[in-house]
Amino acid sequence: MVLALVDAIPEDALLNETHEYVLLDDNRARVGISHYAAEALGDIVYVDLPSIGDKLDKGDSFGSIESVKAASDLYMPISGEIVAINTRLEDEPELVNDNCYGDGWMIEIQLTDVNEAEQLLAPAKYAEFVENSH
Amino acid sequence: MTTTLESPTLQTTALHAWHQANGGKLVPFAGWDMPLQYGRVFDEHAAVRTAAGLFDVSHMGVLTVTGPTEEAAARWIDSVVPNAIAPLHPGQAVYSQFLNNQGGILDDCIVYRVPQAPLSETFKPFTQYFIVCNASNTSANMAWLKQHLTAGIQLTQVSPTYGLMALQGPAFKQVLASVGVAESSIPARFTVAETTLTLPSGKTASVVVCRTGYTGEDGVELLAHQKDMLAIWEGLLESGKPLGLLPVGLAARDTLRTEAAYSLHGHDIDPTITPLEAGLGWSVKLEKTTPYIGQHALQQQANGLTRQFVCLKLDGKLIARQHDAITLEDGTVIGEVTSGTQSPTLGYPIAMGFVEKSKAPALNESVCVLVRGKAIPATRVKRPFYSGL
Repeated sequence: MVLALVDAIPEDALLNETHEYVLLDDNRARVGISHYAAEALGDIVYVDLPSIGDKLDKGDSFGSIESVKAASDLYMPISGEIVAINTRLEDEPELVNDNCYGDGWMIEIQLTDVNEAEQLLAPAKYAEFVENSH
Repeated sequence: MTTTLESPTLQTTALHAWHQANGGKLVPFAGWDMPLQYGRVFDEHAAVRTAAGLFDVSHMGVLTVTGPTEEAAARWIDSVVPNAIAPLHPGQAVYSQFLNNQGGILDDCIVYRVPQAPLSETFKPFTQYFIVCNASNTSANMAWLKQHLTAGIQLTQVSPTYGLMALQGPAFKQVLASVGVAESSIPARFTVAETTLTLPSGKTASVVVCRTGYTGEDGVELLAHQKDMLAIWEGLLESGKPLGLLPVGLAARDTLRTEAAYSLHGHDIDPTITPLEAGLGWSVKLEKTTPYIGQHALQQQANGLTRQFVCLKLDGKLIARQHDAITLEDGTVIGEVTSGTQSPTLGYPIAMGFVEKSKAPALNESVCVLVRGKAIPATRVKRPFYSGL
């Protein structure tokens, strides 16, 4: 079960222990939550996202996510300025359940320090972390 | 999602293997391994509001009560519940509770009187009355009821030898027709009747059809022997599929009952809340020929309630959860939320809770709910939020 969920992670994604992922593109990055986290939350009904231009540090809350079951804060996996938000999630929050690494992305950030990415987990390391947290 | 009691060895229903094999996301619930959902919660919810849904509710407790006479059995049940049992005609059912001496709700239940004509051999233990109660409280109820048992009364837990499934939603009659149950043989609201289902396989099965439910839609709950549960479940799903029938898990059961503003034990009712406070006064008889446990406390409380049950519609999109504070606009805390969800039918967040009666908002007046640190404006609305009945 857990392995199937982490298998879906794109090879170039980097993740943290609060289940956010980063897809790097030069000094910008797309951020969302892992498929494992989306499954654990259940049917997502609302995603509260920040405003474009917000500058946030790694570990800051950039929003929250509501599912039928629970609410959870979203944390910056890496520091940066919000340059885009996925407005589709306003009406289609279920995209996070359907395709979290694709259409279900949440924010795009301009990185403050690209070197911070080194502290994130590669998919295999994240899978190990998830396995061990069971 | 709701009261979850983790247990090292979870109990399983007769349909457990089916749930596992058919995409059911199984979670521990009240000591049982139960399906939370099979697909999307909102699809399952919508099926019940617009077509029909089938729920495995075999985790619920089913207790039979048999006395030397039916009158004696009724009299004993009357001594442990606040609603009136003696006036029930054969085949009638009534919603009630078990109360502690302070009038607090130990559990809520439905008490059924068995129909006049004797039931078939399949339902041999059901001769006079039976009670359906919450899974999480079944063993505590049994212990409590046994403490108060009087001579000659036999109380027996017959679940899970007998299981329940709920068929709910506007298409439920067509689904029953598709397994050979004529509309004329479907019992009226809050009554029961035995019938035989003719399943697509050609197999027949006896069920006791109870015209009750927990979704805010018309429908039935089917009591069956556990040996027949799988055939009935599969047969109903097969013949009901063209009518839009879906299997529905506990998550949608919770959103459905919240829209209908039905109280859930452990959330909206518990041993510190009386039925009068919970807005369930309609199900309570303050005066009854047979005195009952908690009666004195209710009679005293009837002179002046201090808490008010409220239904709230929230602005915005955040969902209030159990224990979130309800405040006046100036920030004064006046109560707390007991249940909250995003209403799939209405498209906005809804919540139920209790407030101090002296500070309770009138209908259509505003309060605030503190959701994750944010004061969300909310409007008191009528109970229920939604009803398909």
